[in-house]
Amino acid sequence: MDYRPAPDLRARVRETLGVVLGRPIEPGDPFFRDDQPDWDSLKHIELVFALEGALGVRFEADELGELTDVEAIAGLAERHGAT
Amino acid sequence: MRHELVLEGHAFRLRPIGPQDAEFVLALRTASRVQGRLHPVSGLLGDQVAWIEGYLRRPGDWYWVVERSLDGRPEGTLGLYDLEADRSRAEWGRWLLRPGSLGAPESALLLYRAAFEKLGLAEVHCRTVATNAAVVSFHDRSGLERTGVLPGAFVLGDTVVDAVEHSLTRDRWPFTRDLLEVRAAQAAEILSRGSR
Repeated sequence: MDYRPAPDLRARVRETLGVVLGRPIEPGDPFFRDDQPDWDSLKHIELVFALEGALGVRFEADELGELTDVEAIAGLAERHGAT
Repeated sequence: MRHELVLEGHAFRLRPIGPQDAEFVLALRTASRVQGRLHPVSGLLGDQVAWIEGYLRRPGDWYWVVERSLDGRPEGTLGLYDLEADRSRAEWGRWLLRPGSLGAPESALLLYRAAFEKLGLAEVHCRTVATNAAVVSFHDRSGLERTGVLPGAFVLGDTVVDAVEHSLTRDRWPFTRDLLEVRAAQAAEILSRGSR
């Protein structure tokens, strides 16, 4: 099955990334980690906790490498039951 | 330099490197994701063993494996070297971690703990390939002072690259310690959840 997270979930992901990284993220912007110089390993840990709080999910340790962009985060959150 | 300095953190440990770690180091250094950011290596295990054996005879040089405290799984390396004659200042680097490792904050924290609390240094500095934005950002965010850009600091194969230099002094270490401690504890909490 092709997972397509609900638009509101993606909006919450964008909003959380935007708050933690200090800039707005426009709809449609994939916001890849590799393109964000300030999305470093310290910020990544901060983001995990912020995303978990905002989305009501709990990621596993070996999933953190999958949190690479808006769509990937939303997809993983949805698999954890976020809507 | 042969040493016995072990540092324990929440979820990670620094332990002295040895020739038995050569295969692990070689795998880290030859991974495609780090190419262009490190001095090229031959790819031969024997050369890596010889390099580590040479390191063990070199004074003023501490080189560690970053490993998980729980099971000793190696996740990376780092080192402190080029100790200045008055023993007040050294450079740190050789910092490589497996992809996806959560060991960055704690390994840096333990390195600084070794430098300031075990070895009594007054300052440590590091030079990062300027295009390695995530590591430059890590040092900025850790509270290190960005002391300058060093044009042409590294020759990596056929390419000359600039470096960004950062410095941490002993008087600023408590600030960096507290900051990294928070993230290291968070990383440990995540790791305590286990895997799928």
